[in-house]
Amino acid sequence: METIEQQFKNTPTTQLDKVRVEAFNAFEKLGIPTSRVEAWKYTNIKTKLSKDFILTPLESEVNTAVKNYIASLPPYAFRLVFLNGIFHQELSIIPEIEGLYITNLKEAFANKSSNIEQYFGKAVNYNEEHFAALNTAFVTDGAFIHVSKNVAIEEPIYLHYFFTATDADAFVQTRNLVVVEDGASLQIAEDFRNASNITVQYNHVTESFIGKNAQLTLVKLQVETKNVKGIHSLEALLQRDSTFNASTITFEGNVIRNNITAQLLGENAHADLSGLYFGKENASIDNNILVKHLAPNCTSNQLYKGVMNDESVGSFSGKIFVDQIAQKTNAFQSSKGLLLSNEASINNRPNLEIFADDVKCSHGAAIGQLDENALFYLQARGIPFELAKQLLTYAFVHEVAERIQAKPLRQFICDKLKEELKLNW
Amino acid sequence: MEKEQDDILQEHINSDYKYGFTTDIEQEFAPMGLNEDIVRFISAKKNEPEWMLNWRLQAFKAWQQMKQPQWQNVHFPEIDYQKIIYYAAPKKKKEIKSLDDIDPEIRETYDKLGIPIQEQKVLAGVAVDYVMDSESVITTFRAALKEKGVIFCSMSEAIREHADLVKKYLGTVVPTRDNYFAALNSAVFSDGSFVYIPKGVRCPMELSTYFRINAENTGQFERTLIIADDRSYVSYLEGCTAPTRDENQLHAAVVELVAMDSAEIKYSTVQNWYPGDKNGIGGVYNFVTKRGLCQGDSSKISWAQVETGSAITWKYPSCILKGDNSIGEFYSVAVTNNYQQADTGTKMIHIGKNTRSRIVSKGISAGKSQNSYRGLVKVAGTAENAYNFSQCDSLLIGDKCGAHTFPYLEIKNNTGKVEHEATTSKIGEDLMFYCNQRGLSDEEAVSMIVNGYCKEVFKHLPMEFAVEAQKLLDVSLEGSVG
Repeated sequence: METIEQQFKNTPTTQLDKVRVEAFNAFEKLGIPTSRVEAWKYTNIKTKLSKDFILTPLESEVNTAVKNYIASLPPYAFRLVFLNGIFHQELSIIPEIEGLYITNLKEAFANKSSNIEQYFGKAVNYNEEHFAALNTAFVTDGAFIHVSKNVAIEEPIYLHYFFTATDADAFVQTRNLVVVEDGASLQIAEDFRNASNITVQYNHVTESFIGKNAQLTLVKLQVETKNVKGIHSLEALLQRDSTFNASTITFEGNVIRNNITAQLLGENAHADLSGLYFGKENASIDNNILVKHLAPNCTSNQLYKGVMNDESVGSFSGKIFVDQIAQKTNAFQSSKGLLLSNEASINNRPNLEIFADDVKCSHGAAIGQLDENALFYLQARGIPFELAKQLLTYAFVHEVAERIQAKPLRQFICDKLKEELKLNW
Repeated sequence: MEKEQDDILQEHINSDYKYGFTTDIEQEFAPMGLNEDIVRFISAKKNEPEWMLNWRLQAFKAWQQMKQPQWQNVHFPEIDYQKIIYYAAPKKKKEIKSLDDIDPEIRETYDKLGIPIQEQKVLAGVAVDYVMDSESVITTFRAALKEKGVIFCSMSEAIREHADLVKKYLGTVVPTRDNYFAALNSAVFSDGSFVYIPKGVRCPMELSTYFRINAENTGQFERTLIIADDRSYVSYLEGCTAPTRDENQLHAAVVELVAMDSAEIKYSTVQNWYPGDKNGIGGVYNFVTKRGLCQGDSSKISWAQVETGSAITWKYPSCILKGDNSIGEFYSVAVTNNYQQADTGTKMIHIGKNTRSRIVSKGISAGKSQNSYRGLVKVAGTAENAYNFSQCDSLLIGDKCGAHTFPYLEIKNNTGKVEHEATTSKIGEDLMFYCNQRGLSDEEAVSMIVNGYCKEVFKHLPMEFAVEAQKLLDVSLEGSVG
C-alpha cells in the first residue's frame, strides 16, 4: 500500500493523474463502508471483503477453464478478454468497423486516444461513492469503446472478465469506459466469471456517455459467480432523446453488489433498467438503483425480480429522483421477490424523491410466494406440484429475460434459468 | 348516587388544589441545561420513588452516550440541549378577560373550524366560569370510568398510586435506550397520561387528553402509557384540531401501548402545533416515539393520525405484532405547507403467526414544504402467514414542494405476503375542470378533491375528530392554490 500511496503523493502532471489523485484522496476519507452507511445497510461489505486486500495487479496464466470457455464461444463474436483485470489481446476479437474505436484502457491512457481525459471519472461520483473512488484511483485495465456520430453497431460486443484467484486477498479493479456519440447505437454484454475454485474479489466500474438521440444497451452477466465477491458500479449520462437499456442478470454469487445510476440530463431521454437475481446457498445479492430525472419530459422504467433459495439474501433499493425542473416526468418502478425457502430473505427499499409537481411516478413492490390459485389451476390440469412450481417460477422471472434484445443472450439466460430450476420442459 | 357524586366532586376539588392548578403558586424553573442534578431535581419535584429516579438516571446515562441520528429527511439547525429549561412548575395561564383579547388570527381559525364559543374559551384560556362547567363534565366522566375499573390519570399520579403497573410496563415497548429522543424523554419527562383498562372492559367513552384534569402544561416531554388487558377495548384521542401556540420548540414525547389477548387499542392523533410563519421562522419540532406492542394473541392496535402542524414532524407510530393473529393498522394524513417538513410513517414488525398489518398513508405537500413517508415492514422468520398491505400516496400542490417515499421491506419468511404501492401525482387538470364547470372555485375544488383523497384515513378517525379534521385540512391548505 505504501508504494502506491507514494505514487499518489507525486504532483500530478496530466489531467488523468489529477483525477486519480483526487479519487485517492476521496477514498482515504471515505474508506470501506460499514452497514451503518444507509446505502450499504443490507450488505455489510466491510466484513465480507478481506481485511488487507492487495491492489497490485496479478499476472496469471490462462488456465484450462478460461480456454475451454473461450473455445465454446461463437468464433465470430466480437470480444475483449481480461484475466484478473489484465487485457489478453490473443484471446480477443476486436472488430474493425469505421467509426468504432476499441482498445483497452491502459493503452488509451498511454496515448490519450479519443480524448479519454474528457470522459474518465466524469460520470462516477468518486467524491461520495466509496468503491468508485477506489476504482478510479487504482484501476488496472478495462475496455474503452468509442462510437462516432451516427454509427450504428449491429453486433453486440462481449467483454469477458475472468478471475483466477492466486491470492485470496487480491482485490481486482477493472473498468469500462463507453462513449456513444450523437445518433450512434451500441450493444454491450459484460460477462464476469470465476475461473477458479477459490474466492475472488473485484470492483468493477462502467462509465457510459450517451449522446443526443443515441442508444446504448448493456447486459451484465454475473453467471458463473460462485465464490465471487463482486462490486459493480454502472453510471450512465443520458443526453436529449437518448435511450439507455441495462439488464443485470445474477445467478449464485457469494456477495454481489450492483450500483446503477442513470442521469437523464436532456429532454425526452429514456432509461430502462431491469434485473433478475437468483440466489442460492448463502449468496447475498444487492441491487442499488438510482434514476435521476434532471430534465423535463423524460421517462424511466425499472423492473427487478428476485428468486431466493436456501439461505440467500436478496436486496433491492431503487430510487427515483425527480428534480424541480423535470416536469412531465413519467417514472415507474416495480420490484418483486419470491422466497422459495424459509431461511431466505428479501429486503426491498423502493424510494421516491420528487420535487416537481406535474409528474407521474409510482412504484410497486411485492414479496411473497407462488400464487396458490395458479398452482391449483395447473395441478387441476394434471401437472404435478413440483413441475407446476417450477413453471410458475420460470414464468415469474422470464419477464425480465424477455426484455433482452440480443437473441443468443436471451436464449442463454432462459436456458440457464431452466437449468437452475431443473425444468426439463 | 348524589352523595357519591358530591364526594367525587369534593375529592376532585381537593386534588386540583393539591396539584396547584387553581392556586396561584410561584413560578419555579429548573436552571437551564441538562445534567444529572437536573434529572434528580425533576424527580424530587415530582416526589418520585427511588426506583423511578434510578430509571431516569439510567436513561440519562444512555442518552449521554448517544448521538442525534442523521438519516432523516428533514433539516434543522443543531439543537443546543443545554439551552433548554427541562422543568417548569405548572404556570398559571395569563388571564384573558374575553375572547376579544386573543390573537385575531387564532380566533378566525376557531371560527373556521366551527369550535363552539364555550370550547373556544377553554382553548384560549379565557378566565370565565367555564371551570365549574367543565369540571362537572370531568367528574361524571371520572365516575363512569371508576365504575368500570378504568384507570385514567396523569403519569405522576400513576407512578405514586399504581406503581406496580407502571413498573411492570414503563419502558417495555420503548426502552430507555431505544433512540436518542426516547432516552432524553425517559430522563426528563414531566408528565403525561396513564391508562389501564381491566380485563373484559370496553371503555365506555373515548378517552381524550383534552378532558384529563391537569392536562395543561404537561410540557414538551410527555410520556403516555396505555395498557389494555385481556379482551378490553379503548379508543384514545390525542391533541385537538384547534391551533396550539407553544413556547417550547422541541417536543420529544414517548407513547407506549400494550395490548393483551384479544384487546384492542385505537389511538387517534390530530396535531396542529404552531408550524412557523409563512417564511419558515419558528414553529415546533415534533420528534415523537410512538410504539404499540400487540403482546397477546388476537390483539389489535390501530393508529390514525392527522398531522397538519409543527415546523418539523418526525415520527413513526409503530406496531410490534408479537401475539399470534394480531393486527396492526396505520392510517395517516400528513399535510405540509409553506416551509414545513415532515418525515413520518410507520413500522410494522411481524413476529407472531398469522399477523396482519395495513398501512394507508396520504401525504399532501404544498408551498415550499417537504413531505416524506418512511416505513418499515419487517417479517421475522417466526411470522408464518404474515400479511401486509401498504399504500402511500403523495399529492403535490405547486411546483416548489417535494414528496418523498422511503419504504423498507424486510422479509425473512416465505409464507408471508407483502405488498406495497406508492404513487405521486398532482391534482389532475381534468378533475379541476370538472369542478370548475360545476361552479366551484379553484380553492373549493382543491378542498373537495383533497378531502376525497384523504377519505380513506378520515373514516378511521372518531366521528367528531373526522369532521374537524376535514375543516382543518382546508385551513392548512389555504392560500396554496393559485
